[in-house]
Amino acid sequence: MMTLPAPPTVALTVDLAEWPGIVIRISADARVMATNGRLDALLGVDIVGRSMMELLDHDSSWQKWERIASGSDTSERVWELIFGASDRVLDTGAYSVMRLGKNEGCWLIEHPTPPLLSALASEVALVNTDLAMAQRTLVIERARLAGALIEVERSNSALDEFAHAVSHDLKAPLRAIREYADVPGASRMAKTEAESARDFRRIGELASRMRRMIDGALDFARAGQSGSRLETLDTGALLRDIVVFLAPPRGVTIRIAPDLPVLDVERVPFEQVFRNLLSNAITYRRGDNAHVEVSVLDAGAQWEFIVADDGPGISELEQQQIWRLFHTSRPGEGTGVGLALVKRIVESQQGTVSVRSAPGAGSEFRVRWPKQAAGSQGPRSAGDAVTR
Amino acid sequence: MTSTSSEFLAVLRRGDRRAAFRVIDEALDAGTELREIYLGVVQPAMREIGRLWQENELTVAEEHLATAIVQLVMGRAFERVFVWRDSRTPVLIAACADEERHQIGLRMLCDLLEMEGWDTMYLGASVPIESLVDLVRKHEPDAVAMSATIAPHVVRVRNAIAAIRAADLPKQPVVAVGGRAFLSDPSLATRIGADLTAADASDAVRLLEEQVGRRVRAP
Repeated sequence: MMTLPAPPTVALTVDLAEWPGIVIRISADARVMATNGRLDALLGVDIVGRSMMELLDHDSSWQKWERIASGSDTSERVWELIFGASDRVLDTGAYSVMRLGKNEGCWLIEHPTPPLLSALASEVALVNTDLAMAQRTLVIERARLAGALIEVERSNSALDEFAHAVSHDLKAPLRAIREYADVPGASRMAKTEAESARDFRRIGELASRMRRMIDGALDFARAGQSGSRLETLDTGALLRDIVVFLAPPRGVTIRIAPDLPVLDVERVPFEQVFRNLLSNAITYRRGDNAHVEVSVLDAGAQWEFIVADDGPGISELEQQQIWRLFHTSRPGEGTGVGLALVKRIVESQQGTVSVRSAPGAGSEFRVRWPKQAAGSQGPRSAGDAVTR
Repeated sequence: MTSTSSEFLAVLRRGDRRAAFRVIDEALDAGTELREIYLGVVQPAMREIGRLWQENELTVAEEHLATAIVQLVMGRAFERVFVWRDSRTPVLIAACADEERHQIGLRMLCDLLEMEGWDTMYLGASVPIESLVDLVRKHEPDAVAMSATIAPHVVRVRNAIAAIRAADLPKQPVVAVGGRAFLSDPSLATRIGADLTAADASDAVRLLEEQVGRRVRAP
């Protein structure tokens, strides 16, 4: 630091020495010439001889000081300044400037704030901050609860639907089994051996079907559970693998568009959705031939995958039913789990699935899958009974 | 400054809380995004308030009143647009070395990061260094953000960073620093051991997303 020549010292009048706030006299070249000792004590340094620029905390106060020193501001205003030295910074103080004669500098006299008022002001500031923080926490917490409530409602309606499907649809094969197992009674003719053998075979088939339905119901129930690791998948390659796995019969062509995205997804549910959709397109084809196309559209935050076939199409009435668990248009073949599972998986990934179709005009399934995996790490809500 | 920002500044100078709410509500109703309100309306108005103090046009009391109103305004605006998402992974702890009136920037950063899906813990002003380190140990944040407006407070930030670096943590958070003290000399940030600094909240969000957010979200 540059050593300044010693400034001329000036004695304070008794009145200023006893003033309850900071009082300093500053020379025309902006150095402290006298002090009542308060600023020295607060900063822990000797201030006489120092430049004002050394004592003011920051350029904001320097700019104010330059305006005071230049004398350009002749108003009687109070000036707010912040003094600071080494690692200590004082609170903002309000000062009056008492100008002396030309080239004689000025006095800086602090307006002391009653300690009670300062304490009150800082209390108010703290309460205000606490309030702002509490309000913010409240907003976040309330939004979280609203999200949890939606999840619970979704789970409840899924649970209702599930209970209905299980109680209603699983009874059908049971009823049939009872019919076939009916021992020859008063109302019936005795069965021939051939008839009995046929009925036993049917009972066996129905039992297998029930077992498939129960397995399907379990898959359906588990589909809402997520938490497996995200993988970066080339969805085009994955779909081509599925096609190989499904081994479509002669006459069925499945074309996968070349521009399918690479996506961070949970592999198992993603694969299941498209396996079910493609498998449906193959199973429910018109005649022996079928053309299936898989393409993708960029829908902003989501990818829209389109699985289009030239199958028999689905009537409007039927379209309302297809997503229901155990609904099937061919009771002999399917268990009616496939599309219900597709819908449940897609929705559990915060996506949507829809169908466009008309009898005779093929069907187009559109799966909207989020580009950013959502909720894969977070715990599911406790109300999600179906998934447990 | 935009006309909304000028209008907002005018009502802040009058200390008119209701009018401040109305200006922001109208902007939100007109479809202005929260980010735009923070960076395009609130931030320029607060900078102007600071400049007016330097010009001796405003007193500290008036500046405090403006800050108090801005905090309320931010709370209301945040409430209107905040949507809970379940995919919040990156975690940030924010602490301020300065007094109450200098917290606005840090709070903007937290709110904007929340909108990006971060989980932020905003500790407010003048948190003791030991408490900060305890919280960092407990929550293992991906990033810690600290601000200082005046040079002497940079010392506090430096000491806090040193304490975090010295703590035995499973993973060291990325430390971001900001505030007026770093604006004039961005190299100060690295000199005191921080990983990054930004000119404003928007810049900080972008850098934190690039250096932390993407890495944390990656599988």
